[in-house]
Amino acid sequence: MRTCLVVDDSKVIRKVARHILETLDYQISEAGDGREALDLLNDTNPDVILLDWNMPVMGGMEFLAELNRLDLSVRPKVVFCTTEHASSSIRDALNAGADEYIMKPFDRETLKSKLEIVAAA
Amino acid sequence: MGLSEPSARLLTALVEARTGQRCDTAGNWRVESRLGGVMASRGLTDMDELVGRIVAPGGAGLARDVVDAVLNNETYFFRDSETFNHIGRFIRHMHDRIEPGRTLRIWSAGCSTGQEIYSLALLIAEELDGLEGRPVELLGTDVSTSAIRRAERGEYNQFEIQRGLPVRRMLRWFEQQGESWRVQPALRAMVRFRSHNILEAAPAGFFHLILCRNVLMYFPGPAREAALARFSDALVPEGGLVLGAGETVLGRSDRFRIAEDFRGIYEHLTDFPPRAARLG
Repeated sequence: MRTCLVVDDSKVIRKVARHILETLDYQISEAGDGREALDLLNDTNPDVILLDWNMPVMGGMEFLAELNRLDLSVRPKVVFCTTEHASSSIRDALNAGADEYIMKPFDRETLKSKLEIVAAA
Repeated sequence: MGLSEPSARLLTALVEARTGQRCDTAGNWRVESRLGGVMASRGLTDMDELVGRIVAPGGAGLARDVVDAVLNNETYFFRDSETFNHIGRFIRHMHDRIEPGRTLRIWSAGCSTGQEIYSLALLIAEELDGLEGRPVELLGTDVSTSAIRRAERGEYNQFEIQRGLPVRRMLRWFEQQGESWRVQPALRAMVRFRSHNILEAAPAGFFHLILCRNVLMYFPGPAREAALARFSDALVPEGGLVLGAGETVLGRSDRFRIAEDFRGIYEHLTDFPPRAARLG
């Protein structure tokens, strides 16, 4: 079973993502910000991280920078999932090391499709 | 208010008469949801009234809009991505076999709003290096005129653009226009579209590859056989036919066989040469 860490300060978004990911046979863990996500990384060892951009304590870009500094045997794939829709923001996220990008709001087909893309890469 | 049974039967008959497709409209919430849009545009609140207006004098335009709404136009970029890998290899294989300078022709039959044929254009432009300058003709056809209009425009909303399309490709080949994303002119120039019913004679000329994915499943058996015969007539010998993942030619046509080296592609048999066509 593949694993996904959902990092979002919105409980509603985490709940929606969890609901969809369960139908896609993912095992899910959740974090409310980047710092909490970093603390969870060792325990959860996710295949994929679904990452929000704007969060309190530690945002998505800062989390990504921290993730890049870690010495991991297998780096999880990072899918930004955010309301930042501008192409410049998308480019910034990719340049910072994101593997894929989802513009919120999203639905099951979008999430499924993006997870398939990162799994095949 | 939902569709009554008599109205649902009438709608099903209308769609089949116009397109050959058998679509069960009774109790189909997706269909009712799409019809809701047509009703709103005409200030109607009752589905039976909508169906009544179709059969009333002057209802032809409405009937066309309703048929468009009932048809399942679901599609997305690089649908069944593994199949696209094989399609890319098959296109390269055809390119290597036909005379230099001759146009390589591909037809997406039932192209809906264009995501499949634009995926092919993108594949050729990006992964196949434009086939080294070989002329390529990409034709997308669909029975729905509104789908064809959208395909020609090549503009997709946030949900459509994200389905199946890797984000790097989106940035490279699409322009952001407010909330939507539009295919770059270079890619649009590679593709042309026209309205066409699969049960009618195929577009003129011969094709090296035909894609008709997740369309024939809506046709009753004899119509499927007729469509496959038309595809055979329109393909060069050893040309390729791609159907949807759950669709097959088995028991419907003896003019194709599974292409051994290209999973998901049927090879057109040379024992059935379409008129005087030759490879090339």
